[in-house]
Amino acid sequence: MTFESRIRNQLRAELDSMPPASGHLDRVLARGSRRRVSHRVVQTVAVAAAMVLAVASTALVVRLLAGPEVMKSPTTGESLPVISEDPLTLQGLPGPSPDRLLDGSEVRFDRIDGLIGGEPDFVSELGAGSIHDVIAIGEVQGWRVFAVPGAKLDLIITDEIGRSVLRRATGGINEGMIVGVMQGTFVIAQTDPPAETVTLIVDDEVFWQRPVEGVVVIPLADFDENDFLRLTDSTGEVLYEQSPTRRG
Amino acid sequence: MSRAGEMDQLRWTKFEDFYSSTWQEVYRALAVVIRDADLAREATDEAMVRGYQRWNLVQRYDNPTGWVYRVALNWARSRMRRMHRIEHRIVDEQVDPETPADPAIERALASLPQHQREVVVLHYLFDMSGPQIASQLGIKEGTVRSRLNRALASLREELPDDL
Repeated sequence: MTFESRIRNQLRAELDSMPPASGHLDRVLARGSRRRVSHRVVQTVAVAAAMVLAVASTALVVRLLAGPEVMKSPTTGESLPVISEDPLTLQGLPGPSPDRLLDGSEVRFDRIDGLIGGEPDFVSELGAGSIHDVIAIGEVQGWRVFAVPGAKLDLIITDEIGRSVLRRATGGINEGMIVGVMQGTFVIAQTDPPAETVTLIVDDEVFWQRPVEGVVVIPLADFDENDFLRLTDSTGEVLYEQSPTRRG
Repeated sequence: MSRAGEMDQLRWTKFEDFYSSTWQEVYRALAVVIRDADLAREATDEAMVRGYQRWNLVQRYDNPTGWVYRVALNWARSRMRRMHRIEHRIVDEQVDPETPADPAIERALASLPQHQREVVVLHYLFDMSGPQIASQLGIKEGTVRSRLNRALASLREELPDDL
Protein backbone atom coordinates (compact mmCIF):
# COMPACT_ATOMS: atom_id res chain seq x y z
CA MET A 1 0.00 0.00 0.00
CA THR A 2 1.35 3.39 -0.89
CA PHE A 3 1.99 6.13 1.57
CA GLU A 4 -0.88 8.20 0.23
CA SER A 5 -3.23 5.22 0.24
CA ARG A 6 -2.51 4.71 3.91
CA ILE A 7 -3.42 8.32 4.58
CA ARG A 8 -6.63 7.99 2.60
CA ASN A 9 -7.62 4.75 4.27
CA GLN A 10 -6.96 6.08 7.71
CA LEU A 11 -9.00 9.22 7.09
CA ARG A 12 -11.84 7.17 5.65
CA ALA A 13 -11.75 4.97 8.73
CA GLU A 14 -11.92 8.03 10.94
CA LEU A 15 -14.80 9.40 8.90
CA ASP A 16 -16.65 6.10 9.16
CA SER A 17 -16.10 6.06 12.89
CA MET A 18 -17.86 9.40 13.30
CA PRO A 19 -21.43 8.95 14.42
CA PRO A 20 -23.98 9.90 11.78
CA ALA A 21 -25.56 13.24 12.36
CA SER A 22 -28.13 15.40 10.77
CA GLY A 23 -28.82 19.05 11.09
CA HIS A 24 -32.06 20.50 12.28
CA LEU A 25 -33.11 23.24 9.95
CA ASP A 26 -36.00 24.32 12.14
CA ARG A 27 -33.70 24.90 15.06
CA VAL A 28 -31.24 26.82 12.93
CA LEU A 29 -33.95 29.09 11.59
CA ALA A 30 -35.38 29.62 15.05
CA ARG A 31 -31.99 30.44 16.54
CA GLY A 32 -31.19 32.74 13.64
CA SER A 33 -34.43 34.63 14.02
CA ARG A 34 -34.01 35.09 17.76
CA ARG A 35 -30.43 36.17 17.37
CA ARG A 36 -31.23 38.77 14.75
CA VAL A 37 -33.26 40.64 17.32
CA SER A 38 -30.70 40.36 20.10
CA HIS A 39 -27.92 41.12 17.64
CA ARG A 40 -29.31 44.55 16.93
CA VAL A 41 -29.57 45.33 20.62
CA VAL A 42 -26.07 44.11 21.37
CA GLN A 43 -24.57 45.90 18.41
CA THR A 44 -26.21 49.15 19.35
CA VAL A 45 -24.92 48.84 22.89
CA ALA A 46 -21.46 47.84 21.68
CA VAL A 47 -21.12 50.76 19.31
CA ALA A 48 -22.43 53.16 21.94
CA ALA A 49 -19.95 51.82 24.47
CA ALA A 50 -17.11 52.14 22.00
CA MET A 51 -18.08 55.68 21.18
CA VAL A 52 -17.88 56.53 24.87
CA LEU A 53 -14.42 55.05 24.97
CA ALA A 54 -13.40 56.89 21.83
CA VAL A 55 -14.39 60.19 23.38
CA ALA A 56 -12.42 59.37 26.51
CA SER A 57 -9.30 58.40 24.65
CA THR A 58 -6.73 60.91 23.48
CA ALA A 59 -4.88 59.01 20.80
CA LEU A 60 -7.36 57.64 18.40
CA VAL A 61 -6.20 59.12 15.16
CA VAL A 62 -6.27 56.84 12.22
CA ARG A 63 -5.81 57.37 8.53
CA LEU A 64 -7.71 54.61 6.92
CA LEU A 65 -8.43 55.97 3.53
CA ALA A 66 -6.79 58.49 1.32
CA GLY A 67 -8.57 61.77 0.98
CA PRO A 68 -11.43 61.22 3.33
CA GLU A 69 -13.82 63.79 4.53
CA VAL A 70 -12.54 65.39 7.69
CA MET A 71 -14.08 65.91 11.08
CA LYS A 72 -12.74 67.31 14.32
CA SER A 73 -11.85 64.95 17.11
CA PRO A 74 -14.11 65.62 20.05
CA THR A 75 -11.19 65.23 22.42
CA THR A 76 -8.08 66.56 20.73
CA GLY A 77 -9.50 68.86 18.10
CA GLU A 78 -7.42 67.10 15.47
CA SER A 79 -8.79 66.52 12.03
CA LEU A 80 -9.91 62.97 11.62
CA PRO A 81 -11.07 61.09 8.61
CA VAL A 82 -14.70 60.30 8.33
CA ILE A 83 -15.07 56.95 6.79
CA SER A 84 -18.70 57.21 6.07
CA GLU A 85 -21.78 58.86 7.36
CA ASP A 86 -23.16 55.41 7.69
CA PRO A 87 -21.31 52.33 8.74
CA LEU A 88 -19.32 51.06 5.80
CA THR A 89 -18.45 47.50 5.17
CA LEU A 90 -14.95 46.55 4.18
CA GLN A 91 -16.02 45.90 0.64
CA GLY A 92 -14.15 48.15 -1.69
CA LEU A 93 -11.13 48.43 0.54
CA PRO A 94 -7.90 46.67 -0.30
CA GLY A 95 -7.63 43.17 0.97
CA PRO A 96 -9.77 40.10 0.95
CA SER A 97 -13.50 40.20 1.17
CA PRO A 98 -15.12 40.72 4.54
CA ASP A 99 -16.01 37.14 5.05
CA ARG A 100 -12.43 36.06 4.60
CA LEU A 101 -11.19 38.75 6.85
CA LEU A 102 -13.40 38.21 9.71
CA ASP A 103 -14.42 34.65 10.07
CA GLY A 104 -17.88 35.34 8.88
CA SER A 105 -18.54 38.40 10.94
CA GLU A 106 -20.07 41.34 9.24
CA VAL A 107 -17.64 44.11 9.93
CA ARG A 108 -18.36 47.75 9.85
CA PHE A 109 -16.26 50.83 10.00
CA ASP A 110 -17.92 53.35 12.16
CA ARG A 111 -17.20 56.98 11.79
CA ILE A 112 -15.57 57.64 15.11
CA ASP A 113 -11.82 57.77 14.75
CA GLY A 114 -11.41 54.63 12.76
CA LEU A 115 -13.20 52.62 15.32
CA ILE A 116 -14.04 49.19 14.17
CA GLY A 117 -17.11 47.69 15.62
CA GLY A 118 -18.50 44.42 14.59
CA GLU A 119 -21.04 41.78 14.88
CA PRO A 120 -22.11 41.38 17.54
CA ASP A 121 -19.45 40.87 19.98
CA PHE A 122 -16.41 42.97 19.57
CA VAL A 123 -15.27 46.51 19.74
CA SER A 124 -11.78 47.62 19.01
CA GLU A 125 -9.93 50.65 17.89
CA LEU A 126 -7.06 50.92 15.52
CA GLY A 127 -4.13 53.25 15.62
CA ALA A 128 -2.29 54.82 12.77
CA GLY A 129 -1.74 52.66 9.78
CA SER A 130 -3.18 51.74 6.49
CA ILE A 131 -5.61 48.94 5.99
CA HIS A 132 -4.04 46.08 4.11
CA ASP A 133 -5.86 43.36 5.80
CA VAL A 134 -7.75 42.81 8.96
CA ILE A 135 -7.45 39.76 11.07
CA ALA A 136 -9.22 38.46 14.04
CA ILE A 137 -6.83 38.25 16.91
CA GLY A 138 -8.99 36.77 19.51
CA GLU A 139 -12.27 36.25 21.13
CA VAL A 140 -12.72 37.10 24.72
CA GLN A 141 -15.84 36.51 26.67
CA GLY A 142 -17.80 36.54 23.50
CA TRP A 143 -16.10 39.65 22.17
CA ARG A 144 -14.14 39.30 19.01
CA VAL A 145 -11.02 41.37 18.71
CA PHE A 146 -9.55 42.53 15.45
CA ALA A 147 -6.39 44.24 14.43
CA VAL A 148 -4.45 45.24 11.37
CA PRO A 149 -1.27 43.31 10.71
CA GLY A 150 1.73 45.04 9.27
CA ALA A 151 0.68 48.42 10.45
CA LYS A 152 1.54 50.19 13.63
CA LEU A 153 -1.11 49.20 15.99
CA ASP A 154 -2.44 51.04 18.89
CA LEU A 155 -5.09 48.84 20.24
CA ILE A 156 -7.64 49.20 22.90
CA ILE A 157 -10.13 46.55 23.62
CA THR A 158 -13.15 47.21 25.66
CA ASP A 159 -15.43 45.02 27.61
CA GLU A 160 -19.16 44.88 27.27
CA ILE A 161 -19.72 48.25 28.88
CA GLY A 162 -16.88 50.06 27.21
CA ARG A 163 -14.22 49.81 29.88
CA SER A 164 -10.73 49.45 28.55
CA VAL A 165 -9.53 46.05 29.56
CA LEU A 166 -6.46 45.61 27.41
CA ARG A 167 -3.29 47.58 27.72
CA ARG A 168 -2.23 49.33 24.59
CA ALA A 169 0.20 47.50 22.43
CA THR A 170 1.99 49.39 19.72
CA GLY A 171 3.82 47.65 16.94
CA GLY A 172 3.26 45.28 14.10
CA ILE A 173 1.31 42.40 15.43
CA ASN A 174 2.26 40.19 12.54
CA GLU A 175 5.67 39.69 14.07
CA GLY A 176 4.34 37.66 16.93
CA MET A 177 3.68 39.11 20.29
CA ILE A 178 1.50 38.89 23.25
CA VAL A 179 -1.19 41.37 22.59
CA GLY A 180 -2.41 41.64 26.06
CA VAL A 181 -4.05 40.28 29.10
CA MET A 182 -7.66 41.13 29.42
CA GLN A 183 -10.15 40.12 31.97
CA GLY A 184 -8.33 37.01 32.84
CA THR A 185 -7.35 36.00 29.33
CA PHE A 186 -4.12 36.06 27.41
CA VAL A 187 -4.41 36.94 23.78
CA ILE A 188 -1.41 36.14 21.66
CA ALA A 189 -1.09 36.93 18.00
CA GLN A 190 1.46 35.26 15.82
CA THR A 191 2.25 34.71 12.21
CA ASP A 192 1.77 31.65 10.12
CA PRO A 193 4.16 29.91 9.90
CA PRO A 194 5.02 30.25 13.53
CA ALA A 195 8.14 32.11 14.42
CA GLU A 196 8.14 31.78 18.12
CA THR A 197 7.38 29.39 20.87
CA VAL A 198 5.43 30.58 23.84
CA THR A 199 5.55 28.73 27.08
CA LEU A 200 3.11 28.92 29.93
CA ILE A 201 4.57 27.80 33.23
CA VAL A 202 2.29 27.00 36.10
CA ASP A 203 3.90 26.50 39.46
CA ASP A 204 7.28 25.90 37.87
CA GLU A 205 5.95 23.22 35.56
CA VAL A 206 5.53 23.73 31.84
CA PHE A 207 1.81 23.62 31.30
CA TRP A 208 1.67 24.63 27.70
CA GLN A 209 4.37 25.14 25.14
CA ARG A 210 4.11 25.38 21.42
CA PRO A 211 4.72 27.56 18.43
CA VAL A 212 1.96 30.07 18.23
CA GLU A 213 0.00 30.34 15.06
CA GLY A 214 -2.83 32.66 14.39
CA VAL A 215 -4.22 33.59 17.71
CA VAL A 216 -4.10 31.80 20.96
CA VAL A 217 -6.38 32.68 23.77
CA ILE A 218 -5.49 31.22 27.12
CA PRO A 219 -8.25 31.63 29.64
CA LEU A 220 -6.70 32.51 32.93
CA ALA A 221 -10.01 31.65 34.44
CA ASP A 222 -8.80 28.07 34.24
CA PHE A 223 -6.26 28.83 36.89
CA ASP A 224 -6.52 29.41 40.54
CA GLU A 225 -5.42 32.69 42.01
CA ASN A 226 -2.94 30.72 44.05
CA ASP A 227 -1.25 29.39 40.91
CA PHE A 228 2.05 30.93 39.99
CA LEU A 229 1.83 31.67 36.28
CA ARG A 230 4.54 32.78 33.97
CA LEU A 231 4.27 33.21 30.22
CA THR A 232 7.56 33.37 28.37
CA ASP A 233 8.66 33.71 24.80
CA SER A 234 11.23 31.53 23.05
CA THR A 235 14.11 33.49 24.58
CA GLY A 236 12.78 32.97 28.05
CA GLU A 237 11.71 36.55 28.42
CA VAL A 238 8.74 36.84 30.70
CA LEU A 239 5.72 38.20 28.91
CA TYR A 240 3.37 37.87 31.81
CA GLU A 241 3.63 36.79 35.38
CA GLN A 242 1.09 36.22 38.05
CA SER A 243 2.22 35.55 41.57
CA PRO A 244 -0.14 34.05 44.12
CA THR A 245 -0.48 37.41 45.82
CA ARG A 246 -0.61 39.76 42.86
CA ARG A 247 -1.80 39.40 39.32
CA GLY A 248 0.60 40.44 36.57
CA MET B 1 -48.45 37.86 0.57
CA SER B 2 -46.62 41.13 1.08
CA ARG B 3 -43.47 41.88 -0.89
CA ALA B 4 -41.41 41.52 2.26
CA GLY B 5 -43.09 38.20 2.88
CA GLU B 6 -42.36 37.07 -0.64
CA MET B 7 -38.73 38.04 -0.29
CA ASP B 8 -38.48 36.24 3.02
CA GLN B 9 -40.03 33.15 1.51
CA LEU B 10 -37.62 33.29 -1.41
CA ARG B 11 -34.64 33.54 0.86
CA TRP B 12 -35.96 30.85 3.16
CA THR B 13 -36.37 28.47 0.28
CA LYS B 14 -32.90 29.10 -1.02
CA PHE B 15 -31.33 28.78 2.37
CA GLU B 16 -33.21 25.57 2.93
CA ASP B 17 -31.81 24.19 -0.29
CA PHE B 18 -28.36 25.29 0.64
CA TYR B 19 -28.71 23.83 4.10
CA SER B 20 -29.97 20.49 2.83
CA SER B 21 -27.21 20.12 0.31
CA THR B 22 -24.26 21.25 2.39
CA TRP B 23 -24.86 20.48 6.05
CA GLN B 24 -23.57 16.93 5.83
CA GLU B 25 -20.57 17.93 3.78
CA VAL B 26 -19.50 20.60 6.23
CA TYR B 27 -20.17 18.41 9.24
CA ARG B 28 -18.25 15.44 7.88
CA ALA B 29 -15.20 17.44 6.87
CA LEU B 30 -15.17 19.26 10.17
CA ALA B 31 -15.65 16.11 12.21
CA VAL B 32 -12.58 14.52 10.69
CA VAL B 33 -10.50 17.65 10.97
CA ILE B 34 -11.23 18.34 14.61
CA ARG B 35 -11.89 14.72 15.54
CA ASP B 36 -14.91 15.53 17.59
CA ALA B 37 -18.29 14.69 16.12
CA ASP B 38 -20.34 16.48 18.78
CA LEU B 39 -18.38 19.68 18.47
CA ALA B 40 -18.49 19.44 14.68
CA ARG B 41 -22.26 19.10 14.74
CA GLU B 42 -22.62 22.06 17.06
CA ALA B 43 -20.18 24.17 15.07
CA THR B 44 -21.94 23.36 11.80
CA ASP B 45 -25.26 24.39 13.25
CA GLU B 46 -23.73 27.57 14.62
CA ALA B 47 -22.22 28.41 11.24
CA MET B 48 -25.52 27.70 9.54
CA VAL B 49 -27.25 30.08 11.92
CA ARG B 50 -24.79 32.79 10.98
CA GLY B 51 -25.23 31.93 7.33
CA TYR B 52 -28.98 32.21 7.66
CA GLN B 53 -28.67 35.57 9.37
CA ARG B 54 -26.62 36.92 6.48
CA TRP B 55 -28.07 34.82 3.74
CA ASN B 56 -28.62 37.79 1.45
CA LEU B 57 -24.89 38.39 1.54
CA VAL B 58 -23.61 34.83 1.86
CA GLN B 59 -25.58 33.49 -1.07
CA ARG B 60 -23.70 35.88 -3.34
CA TYR B 61 -20.31 34.61 -2.29
CA ASP B 62 -18.35 32.48 -4.73
CA ASN B 63 -18.28 29.64 -2.27
CA PRO B 64 -20.97 29.81 0.42
CA THR B 65 -20.10 26.31 1.54
CA GLY B 66 -16.52 27.33 2.11
CA TRP B 67 -17.71 30.31 4.08
CA VAL B 68 -19.85 28.13 6.32
CA TYR B 69 -17.00 25.67 6.73
CA ARG B 70 -14.60 28.40 7.78
CA VAL B 71 -17.06 29.89 10.21
CA ALA B 72 -17.72 26.46 11.68
CA LEU B 73 -14.03 25.68 11.93
CA ASN B 74 -13.21 28.98 13.57
CA TRP B 75 -16.07 28.63 15.98
CA ALA B 76 -14.92 25.13 16.86
CA ARG B 77 -11.37 26.36 17.33
CA SER B 78 -12.48 29.06 19.70
CA ARG B 79 -14.48 26.55 21.64
CA MET B 80 -11.56 24.16 21.77
CA ARG B 81 -9.22 26.86 23.00
CA ARG B 82 -11.58 27.65 25.81
CA MET B 83 -11.82 24.02 26.66
CA HIS B 84 -8.08 23.54 26.38
CA ARG B 85 -7.52 21.86 29.68
CA ILE B 86 -10.69 19.84 29.69
CA GLU B 87 -10.13 18.82 26.11
CA HIS B 88 -6.78 17.34 26.96
CA ARG B 89 -8.31 15.25 29.67
CA ILE B 90 -11.08 14.03 27.39
CA VAL B 91 -8.70 13.17 24.57
CA ASP B 92 -6.43 11.35 26.98
CA GLU B 93 -9.34 9.29 28.22
CA GLN B 94 -10.66 8.51 24.76
CA VAL B 95 -7.49 7.27 23.18
CA ASP B 96 -7.60 3.54 22.71
CA PRO B 97 -4.35 2.35 21.21
CA GLU B 98 -5.65 -1.12 20.49
CA THR B 99 -8.49 -0.34 18.16
CA PRO B 100 -7.11 1.66 15.24
CA ALA B 101 -6.43 -0.32 12.12
CA ASP B 102 -3.32 1.66 11.35
CA PRO B 103 -2.15 3.09 14.64
CA ALA B 104 1.09 4.52 13.30
CA ILE B 105 -0.58 6.60 10.64
CA GLU B 106 -3.37 7.52 12.99
CA ARG B 107 -0.89 8.84 15.51
CA ALA B 108 1.02 10.67 12.83
CA LEU B 109 -2.12 12.29 11.45
CA ALA B 110 -3.32 13.20 14.91
CA SER B 111 -0.04 14.91 15.68
CA LEU B 112 -0.33 17.31 12.75
CA PRO B 113 -1.18 20.91 13.55
CA GLN B 114 -4.81 21.49 12.82
CA HIS B 115 -4.24 23.78 9.86
CA GLN B 116 -2.12 21.09 8.20
CA ARG B 117 -4.55 18.35 9.09
CA GLU B 118 -7.46 20.18 7.52
CA VAL B 119 -5.59 20.51 4.24
CA VAL B 120 -4.71 16.83 4.31
CA VAL B 121 -8.31 15.88 5.07
CA LEU B 122 -9.76 18.00 2.31
CA HIS B 123 -7.22 16.74 -0.20
CA TYR B 124 -7.07 13.06 0.59
CA LEU B 125 -10.49 12.40 2.00
CA PHE B 126 -12.63 14.76 -0.04
CA ASP B 127 -10.41 14.74 -3.13
CA MET B 128 -10.30 18.50 -3.36
CA SER B 129 -7.77 20.19 -5.59
CA GLY B 130 -5.47 22.95 -4.43
CA PRO B 131 -7.70 25.72 -5.78
CA GLN B 132 -10.76 24.12 -4.25
CA ILE B 133 -9.10 23.87 -0.84
CA ALA B 134 -7.89 27.44 -1.11
CA SER B 135 -11.42 28.56 -1.84
CA GLN B 136 -12.87 26.44 0.92
CA LEU B 137 -10.45 27.70 3.55
CA GLY B 138 -10.08 31.23 2.28
CA ILE B 139 -6.33 30.97 1.91
CA LYS B 140 -3.94 31.23 -1.00
CA GLU B 141 -3.12 28.26 -3.18
CA GLY B 142 0.52 28.65 -2.26
CA THR B 143 -0.40 28.34 1.38
CA VAL B 144 -2.34 25.18 0.61
CA ARG B 145 0.69 23.71 -1.13
CA SER B 146 3.09 24.65 1.64
CA ARG B 147 0.80 23.27 4.33
CA LEU B 148 0.31 20.07 2.43
CA ASN B 149 4.03 19.69 1.81
CA ARG B 150 4.84 20.31 5.45
CA ALA B 151 2.19 17.87 6.53
CA LEU B 152 3.50 15.17 4.23
CA ALA B 153 7.05 15.84 5.34
CA SER B 154 5.98 15.44 8.96
CA LEU B 155 4.09 12.27 8.17
CA ARG B 156 7.05 10.78 6.34
CA GLU B 157 9.26 11.65 9.26
CA GLU B 158 6.86 9.91 11.60
CA LEU B 159 6.54 6.94 9.28
CA PRO B 160 10.05 6.22 8.08
CA ASP B 161 9.00 2.85 6.64
CA ASP B 162 7.18 4.68 3.91
CA LEU B 163 10.15 6.60 2.67
